[in-house]
Amino acid sequence: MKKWIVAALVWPALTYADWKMTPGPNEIEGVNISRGAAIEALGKTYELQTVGAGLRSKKVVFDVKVYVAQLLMSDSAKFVKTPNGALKSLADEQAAAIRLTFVRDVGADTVMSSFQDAFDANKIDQKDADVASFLNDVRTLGDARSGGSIAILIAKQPDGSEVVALENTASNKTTERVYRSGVMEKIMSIWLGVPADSGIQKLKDQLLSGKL
Amino acid sequence: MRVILGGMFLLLSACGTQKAIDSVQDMPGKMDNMQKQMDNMKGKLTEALTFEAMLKPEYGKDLSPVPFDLMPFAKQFAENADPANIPELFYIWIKKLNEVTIDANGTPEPVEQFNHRKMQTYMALQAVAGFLPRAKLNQILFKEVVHTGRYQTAVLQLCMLRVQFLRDVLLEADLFSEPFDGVGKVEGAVKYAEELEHIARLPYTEAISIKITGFAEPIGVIEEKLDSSVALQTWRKIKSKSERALANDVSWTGKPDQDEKLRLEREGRMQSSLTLINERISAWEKSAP
Repeated sequence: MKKWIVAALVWPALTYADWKMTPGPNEIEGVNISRGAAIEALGKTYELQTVGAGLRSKKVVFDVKVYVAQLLMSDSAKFVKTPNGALKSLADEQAAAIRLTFVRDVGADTVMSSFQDAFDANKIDQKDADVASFLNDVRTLGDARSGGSIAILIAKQPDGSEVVALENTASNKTTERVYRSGVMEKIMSIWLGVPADSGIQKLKDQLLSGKL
Repeated sequence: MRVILGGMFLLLSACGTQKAIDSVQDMPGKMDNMQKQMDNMKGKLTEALTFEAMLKPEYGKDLSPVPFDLMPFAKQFAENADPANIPELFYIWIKKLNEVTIDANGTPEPVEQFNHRKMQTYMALQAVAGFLPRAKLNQILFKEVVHTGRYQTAVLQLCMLRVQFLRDVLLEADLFSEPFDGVGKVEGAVKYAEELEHIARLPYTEAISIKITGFAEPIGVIEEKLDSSVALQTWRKIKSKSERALANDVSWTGKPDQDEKLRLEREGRMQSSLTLINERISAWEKSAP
């Protein structure tokens, strides 16, 4: 336990996660929906396939568009595209990623707040060191800008730990941090778990629809 | 004969004089009435101008997620409006939203422009409904809803607009969009939640709804029936965010002893807010079926 806490605290951002997206034929709100991506992180390349995409909007009288999400998995065949099975099926994935391309400016505090609401909806303890660390990293990445992306890669390591690589293309900031096992499911619950609001529910339906 | 005529003249003069005297004595009352009518007219004109002012294009540039430009007008209008005039105003503007078509002026308006204009009106009505002081709202509810006034339906729609504004704009788009980094934000959220609570506790919540059919596609129909659980959901969210409230250790006075007093004061306020929030949640949970 102490080993993981120390590791989570001291692991430096030594390398930058580099996303090489393979363009697909379709677009959502002008954002190309990829077929997959080769993501370099921690000196390793992760080949992921895009399994779902959708638009996150927030209802304020009418729907306000926020970001286009692309969900990627290391083994698309093992990913279960059902509302109750999707999150649990991550146990069979070596790596999972989500890329959020924003269609409006959103402050860092607002991004963090929306993730906190999702953790509340999924009853995830935000005093947990890993969760607190992740939220702090999200905040530190800075504001999301229209046209820019926040990208999250979570990769399981042979020793049971999980590495989370975060990137904000608008602020050119990245972080990479080692976490205990189980952080993939906690983070991905934001989109694949209990929806925090109707906009996330719609996005989840789109991500699991299989339409790219 | 001359005496009779003289007498009649005097009598008539006296009557005329008396009338003149009566008239002068009545003058203050008449002037009061005239003043009241003028004030009423001015009030109506002022209200009409103020509400109309919110609909000018320059105040409708940014409507989402928060209609920043028209909100100050809406607040001032709501706080100064005569409650007697609000129901009719809502009736007229909601009717206009529903019935004015895209080609009302002879030539079809571009869809986006048409919808944007209507959305500005909708959000102005929402904002006025949301900012209406509780005392004025209660007067309106008593007269129009409880006593089945001419504008009962419009006032029930006003209630739904109020809920939408509090929930979607003042809370979700504003206060909830960021972490609570001070007790002031907690108190602000509690204030709005209390207004939601007030509507959600009315005995006729099943009659509170809104339906606007006058938008062109892709907006189409805006329709919502009040779900009273909005109050409990809001209280729970405030509690959750309050418990995560960021500690604020900034020295606001530069003097340690005064900073300490302020810190204790903040803690007291936070405790009061949390006590109230917990009471509200308990009350709803106890009444749940």
